[in-house]
Amino acid sequence: MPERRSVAAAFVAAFLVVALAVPVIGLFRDRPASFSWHMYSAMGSLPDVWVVDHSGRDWPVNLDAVLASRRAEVDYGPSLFERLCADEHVASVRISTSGEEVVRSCD
Amino acid sequence: MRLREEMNRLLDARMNARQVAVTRIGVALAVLLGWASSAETLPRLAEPGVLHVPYVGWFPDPDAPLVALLLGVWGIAALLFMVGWRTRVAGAVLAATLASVLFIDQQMYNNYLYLMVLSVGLLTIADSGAALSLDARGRHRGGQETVAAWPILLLCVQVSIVYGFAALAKLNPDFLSGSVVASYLRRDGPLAVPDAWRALEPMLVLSVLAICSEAFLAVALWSRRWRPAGLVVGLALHIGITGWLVSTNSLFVFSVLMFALFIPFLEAPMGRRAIVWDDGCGFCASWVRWFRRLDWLGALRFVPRSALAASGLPVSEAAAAEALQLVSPSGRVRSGFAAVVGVAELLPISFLWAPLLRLPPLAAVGERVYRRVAARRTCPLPAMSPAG
Repeated sequence: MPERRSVAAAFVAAFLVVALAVPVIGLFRDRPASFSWHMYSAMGSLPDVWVVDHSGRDWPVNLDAVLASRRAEVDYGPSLFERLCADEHVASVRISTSGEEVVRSCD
Repeated sequence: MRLREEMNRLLDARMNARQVAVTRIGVALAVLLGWASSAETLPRLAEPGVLHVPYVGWFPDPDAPLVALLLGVWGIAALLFMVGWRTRVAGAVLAATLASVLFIDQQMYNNYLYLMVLSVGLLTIADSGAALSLDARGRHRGGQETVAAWPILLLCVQVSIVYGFAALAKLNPDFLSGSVVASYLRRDGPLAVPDAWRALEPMLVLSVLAICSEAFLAVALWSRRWRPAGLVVGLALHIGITGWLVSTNSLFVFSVLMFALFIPFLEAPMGRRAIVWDDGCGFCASWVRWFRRLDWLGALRFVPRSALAASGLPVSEAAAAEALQLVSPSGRVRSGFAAVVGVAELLPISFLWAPLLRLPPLAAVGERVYRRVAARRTCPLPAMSPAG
């Protein structure tokens, strides 16, 4: 019985620490962040994405056809680079998020 | 030493098993609504060409059989959790399934899904199937009267954390400018907000109102004095966001979940509030019959006027003959319309809006209507003699 009590006490303490610490850390991350209760606290904009072929021509990517769900909390960048660069016709990928642009070569 | 005593007190505390059971049923309803919503989005992950954004590389890829399995187990476990059949097993399976959906891909993240994992997990630990469940029928009729309170206390803390951090996160220049609210307001449908109304001032007011409401809720639900106002603010906030913000399905599920999680905040120990009613009056009997049916928390004890003398309650026979009386555990007596409001504040179907009936114009009108109905009631049953 005392052992069960100790387990319950440890669970209470651990739950409170995690339940408070995660959203506190989330306050210092970009909004909205997952697991931090940032509901409707910021305008979450999705990136604009283009692939660039070997001739240097840009092709816009229709994200609706690629994403399972549009979530502002998600950093789509790394997975998008990997997916789009898998196409041998793509030389580089250009991602623009809130005015910031990242270009990554597929080499 | 003092911390250890406090912890022991917390771990020993018990609470009304039916209150926890009603919370379980409400949360399960929200989980089923969430299932209906995810039945559209989750299968998309298994479509060819759709991007996967895993949290960790070793988690299984969401292919069609896995998605079908998750949705199937989610639906069945939620139904079993709701009816309370093998509640602990159903709850554990449901929490694990919801967590799997949450972590299968970052695109599946949803605040209500995360809160469901925590709620179902804590309700499972709390033995929420101890009452109002098939399990309870199997054990002994009616089930247990109390269960451990600490998991439910953690659930209440979690509710405050949700509202508190939602308010804190909104303290940023973007949100305070009103532009975030303006962008999320509906643009189509019968509740669409015209562009002309999306001006700076009204959006600023809405933004500040949203922050104040959430901050108030985080605190008020814990206070006996402010709880009624908190429940009404919660109802208004959730009706407002579900009605006028985009992503209506998610917000509807989230609102149902939060309403269920308000129930543990009610002070509703089993049978501790006494309703004294005139059993010489058929009209009163039909009201009391309805109160009994709707008292899912089991918080009310019904004392007919004929048994008043033996009850030891601080209510006179004359008062009981004149109007319904509600006696709180502290001995405070509310009479007539105020007693009806007191009862409504303990019924799961009315506890959110019943505090509105305390407001001056409604309370005065309600009391007048109650007196008029009471004066004209017909009492086909034989009236009690003064001696009882």
